[in-house]
Amino acid sequence: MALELKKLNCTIAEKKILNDFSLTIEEGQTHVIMGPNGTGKSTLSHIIMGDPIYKLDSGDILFNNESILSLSPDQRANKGLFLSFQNPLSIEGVSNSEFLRTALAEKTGSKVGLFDFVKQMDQAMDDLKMDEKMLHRSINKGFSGGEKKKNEILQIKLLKPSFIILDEIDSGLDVDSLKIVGDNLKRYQKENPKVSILIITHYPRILDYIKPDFVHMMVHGKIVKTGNITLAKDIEQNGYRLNDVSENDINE
Amino acid sequence: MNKIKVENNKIITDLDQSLFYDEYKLKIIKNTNVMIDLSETKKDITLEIETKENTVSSIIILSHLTNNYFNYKIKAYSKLNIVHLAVDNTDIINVDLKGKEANVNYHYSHLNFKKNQVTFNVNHLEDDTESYLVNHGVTLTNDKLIFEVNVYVADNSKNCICNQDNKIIMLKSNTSSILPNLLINNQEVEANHSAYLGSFNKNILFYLESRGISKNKCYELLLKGFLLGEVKIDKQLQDWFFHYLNIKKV
Ligand SMILES: Nc1ncnc2c1ncn2[C@@H]1O[C@H](COP(=O)(O)OP(=O)(O)O)[C@@H](O)[C@H]1O
Ligand SMILES: [Mg+2]
Repeated sequence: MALELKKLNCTIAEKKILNDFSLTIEEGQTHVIMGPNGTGKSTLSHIIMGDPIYKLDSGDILFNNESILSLSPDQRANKGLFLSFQNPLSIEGVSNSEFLRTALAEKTGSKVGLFDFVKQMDQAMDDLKMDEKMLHRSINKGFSGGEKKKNEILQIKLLKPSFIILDEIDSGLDVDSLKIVGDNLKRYQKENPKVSILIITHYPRILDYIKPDFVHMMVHGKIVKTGNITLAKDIEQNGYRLNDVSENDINE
Repeated sequence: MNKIKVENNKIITDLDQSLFYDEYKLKIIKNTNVMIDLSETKKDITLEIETKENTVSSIIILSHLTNNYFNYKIKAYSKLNIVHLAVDNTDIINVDLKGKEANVNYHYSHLNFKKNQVTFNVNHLEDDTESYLVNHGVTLTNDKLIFEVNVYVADNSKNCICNQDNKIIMLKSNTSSILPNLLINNQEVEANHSAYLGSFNKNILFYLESRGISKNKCYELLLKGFLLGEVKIDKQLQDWFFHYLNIKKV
């Protein structure tokens, strides 16, 4: 069993953001969460990763049968969790290569030299059609939306997580970049069949590349409907049809 | 590289023909690079550094636990790039842009453990003079650091550019402050300034940590990035500067 979210409740500024949110994602599965803006999807992804600015009121998160609630974000990452951010941050003064080498060193316990590292990154950057110069620039600084998202995928290729959360990976991507990102993710999944993926998205475009096992519709901090790819297509065509979601579904 | 080193009261110089040194006065005659190492003296130093016209030079300064006064005079069509690494210093830095198109690029990085004040005075005394100041300090204790930055543009100095970026990252709470004063007497000037006083952004820390980097390592990355940024200096100098971060880690 990979990730088990058990009755998560989270309140921010007296507003309930997660409402008894429960979901289990098994090893090798791909799940999709779709939901309107402001429904708590990014908050959920940050809570899974251990962002200290969010506190759970109640609930538990199990990863491979162990609670990870008391673990720091870096400990969660080193257990194999990875969050691709909706808005990856820019960090002035810290070069991408220094960042990635440090992350790799923390994972493997030994630091690789800059030269060997750049050589090692060559293929991955080529796959993503990223300019090698980006390694030497400050993290995400001056990167376009698409370049930032590719940089997230580059980190996946480098750190080889076993559980990936993709928060709006398709936002800010043009058709060509979407194809590159989609193809790279598809290949990663093929090479690592045990990887579990949680895709958070507004649009099912990315699902042309990664086939989901389950599609969930999230409204007001909880899953109100679960289905397959048909649900995603339905949401794309008809929106979330919030009227269909009864108050009962939202507040038990 | 040319070198001036002060060891207690003794001054050791190793200089070529591009500069001339006498009695705490350094004169740059041709394009050059020089390192001024005050890291091993306990003596407070007053140093005057003057350029000739039409020179481009780089200076690296290391200082530690002293109260120093640096007085730069930059002549026409000359440029000075200065990287100044200071550990627990109270410094006064005076830069006179004395000739047309005189240009200073001053990157001042400071590690602060006890109470200090650093005062910059940059005087645009001629047309088309340019100053670019980066003052980045980190306070590692409850003692405060004050950056006072006074930029003066004379009334007859046209088309000057003055840029300043003053930031203090406080790793412990204290009453540090940044006091920028712009005294601009000429309308045709391009002036930019930014100031920040506080700790590292929580979202940035979380982003780094989420990649498996421990909190301590995150701070190390961020501190090094903050203090040096794009500045390229020898590993040996970086090690000298950054080892103070480890010594006082509580
Ligand atoms: N750090 C925060 N401070 C205040 N409100 C927040 C914070 N994070 C999220 N929220 C609020 O929580 C709600 C859910 O936001 P978010 O998780 O970003 O939604 P989604 O990703 O589904 O669009 C929004 O109303 C948002 O304003
Ligand atoms: Mg979101």
